[in-house]
Amino acid sequence: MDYLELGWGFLNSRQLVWIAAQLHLNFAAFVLAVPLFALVIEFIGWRSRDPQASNAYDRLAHELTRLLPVAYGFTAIMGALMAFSLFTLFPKVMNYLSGIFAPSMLVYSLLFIAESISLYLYYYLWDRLQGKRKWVHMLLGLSLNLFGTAVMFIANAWASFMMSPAGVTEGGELVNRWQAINNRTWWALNIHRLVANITFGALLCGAYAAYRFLTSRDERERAYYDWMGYTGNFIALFTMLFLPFLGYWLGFEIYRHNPQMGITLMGGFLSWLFVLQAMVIATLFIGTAYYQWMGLARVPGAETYRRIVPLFLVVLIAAFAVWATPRTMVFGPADPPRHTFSVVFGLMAPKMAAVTSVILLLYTSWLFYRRAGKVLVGGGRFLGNLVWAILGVAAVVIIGLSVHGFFAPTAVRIRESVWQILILAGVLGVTFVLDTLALRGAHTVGRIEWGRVPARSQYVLIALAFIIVWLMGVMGYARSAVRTNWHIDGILQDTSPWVWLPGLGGVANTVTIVTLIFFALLAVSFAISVFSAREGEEVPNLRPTPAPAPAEPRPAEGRATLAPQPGGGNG
Amino acid sequence: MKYLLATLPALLVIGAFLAFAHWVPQVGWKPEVAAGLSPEMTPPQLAQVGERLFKGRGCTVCHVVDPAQGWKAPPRAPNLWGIGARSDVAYIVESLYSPQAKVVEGYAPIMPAATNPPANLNYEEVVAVVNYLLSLGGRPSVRIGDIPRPPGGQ
Repeated sequence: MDYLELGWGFLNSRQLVWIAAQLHLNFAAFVLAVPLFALVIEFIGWRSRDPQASNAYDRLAHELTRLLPVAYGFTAIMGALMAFSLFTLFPKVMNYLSGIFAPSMLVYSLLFIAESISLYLYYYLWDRLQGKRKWVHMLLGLSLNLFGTAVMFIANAWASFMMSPAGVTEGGELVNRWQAINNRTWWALNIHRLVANITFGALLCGAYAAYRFLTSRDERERAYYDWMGYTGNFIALFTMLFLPFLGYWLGFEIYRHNPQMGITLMGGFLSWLFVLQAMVIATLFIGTAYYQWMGLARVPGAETYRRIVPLFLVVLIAAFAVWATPRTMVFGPADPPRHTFSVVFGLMAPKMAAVTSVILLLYTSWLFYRRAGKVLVGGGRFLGNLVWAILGVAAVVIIGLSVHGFFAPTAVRIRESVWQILILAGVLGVTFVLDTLALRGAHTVGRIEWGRVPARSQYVLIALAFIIVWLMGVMGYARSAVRTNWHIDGILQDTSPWVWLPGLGGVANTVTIVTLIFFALLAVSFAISVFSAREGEEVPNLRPTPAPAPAEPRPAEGRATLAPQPGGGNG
Repeated sequence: MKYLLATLPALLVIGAFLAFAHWVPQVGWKPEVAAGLSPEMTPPQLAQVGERLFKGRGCTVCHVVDPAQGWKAPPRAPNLWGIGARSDVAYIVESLYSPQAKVVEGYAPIMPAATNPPANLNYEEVVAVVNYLLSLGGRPSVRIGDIPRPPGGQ
């Protein structure tokens, strides 16, 4: 028997597997990502010499970890539902995959058990392993992350094999198991998912903080959860900057495996889906930036920077419009792909200009936040102006290279795109160092006031969480749909009654249903986390201290660092 | 209630995405299945089936059939309008079985054999597609059995 046909209206075999798989992936992304940045935050707190900061970071990491146990349970339940559905409804596919990957499935199970033990020890021993024994707790966190990442990499091997099989004959006979695991798209998928998971988890934690902020009446709590939301958004924004390039890498490997697959993804019947995903990603970036800009309200004296924000918004929207324009479009089921208005903006050179501009602009926004409420003095003023000059020149050079590349032969254009990335990376590194030096000795005229932020910023945080879950659903569909009528590309054909692929409306319906179910379950997880908080437990005090009088500025305390400073400088 | 209200802006944004997804052309996909191809079918009948296969098995991902464009105008693969006039049966069959044997100048050698994924045509279907291509500027003239089977045979 190849397939067991299930059909209850909307819920047929494929829909069931689709929904269970996506829910499992969403929860898995969350429980993989949160320990990663919880560990980093805990480490920052552990090494901090400031007792208030140390306490705040440790409390934040602990509160993030408190979200995990129930979410982990949902991950396992959804994983079991997915596996059960696959093995009963699609036995031919699963028999084949089991034959190829049986040893790795055993390793997966063992690592999953190890991950579970690490998680529960990490969570329940938090208070016991403080002080001198903190390093033991850090080791537990590290092992949790290592086991979790290994579990994901193994599952990625199965998923990527379905897209770009290797290590098997044309007839599908196993030749080399390691090659099957280490197939063409495995590492690109591993790294893309790892970074995207962090963005995903950070935005969900941001949404949790936003809920707590909106529902709290206590000023101290609001200040704390404002800081927590900012931290989540900051981590998301930072990791999001890498995702366009990692997505490009994955797309490149798909194209190298099978050019038709790559073209189907970007310019075939999935082209409208790619317009949609570009819109969703644009909303995500703009929303994240908008939240950052609203955060300037926390810092007295940041008005200068706030005036530039509308211009940034226009540039962001324009850049994303270019990025979302595909080279060719499909307008009907039997229509060939056509060029439309996209002839100019659909090419690689304008897209490179758009993406690099977005990254430069978001980075500049972050520098605004960092500089807000501070007055540079002496040599710092020169360095500060030098940073703006370098960023301006870099923008002109990068866009200039794109204009040149537009008219140049393909080989030249590709070479120049590599230079654009190198220039961008170099400029970010150099200006970060220069800005850090510029801020040394800067006078603080307005200290960050956590909790002093418009309520709409919190609605943005919640919306961002919904958007990334929806986006992950759309992209999960794209990765599967690109195989068209193949369970395993070129090896095992899909001959089930559900071999067809729906139009974008049908895809969006299922993705929306998955998103709503996920948030309903996540709400349960968050609610249990709130209930499990210790009675009388107080949040760290991050409320603003009185700002010094502008006439007598005092030096900033400590160094400006990449991470947000609780109650202190601007991250 | 306050928890639900907090999600309202998020639901509006997701609703906007959903509306956009329903507003754009609903381009789904279904593999074209050519049932009942038999040696009794005439070349024009086979050409009709071949057209469906051509459009439904992924050929149009790269190729176009457009009388308004030059044959080397498209960016990914040649425009096949007029191929029936400018090529013979042997060339078309070779292009389907071994597309890397002769690659039109200016294009990358990205086409897989039509008997391999994603098109995955069997012998009878290849004959149908050959007739369709011959009909683009020429006359379909090939019956099942007239051309060689693919290397490896299907």
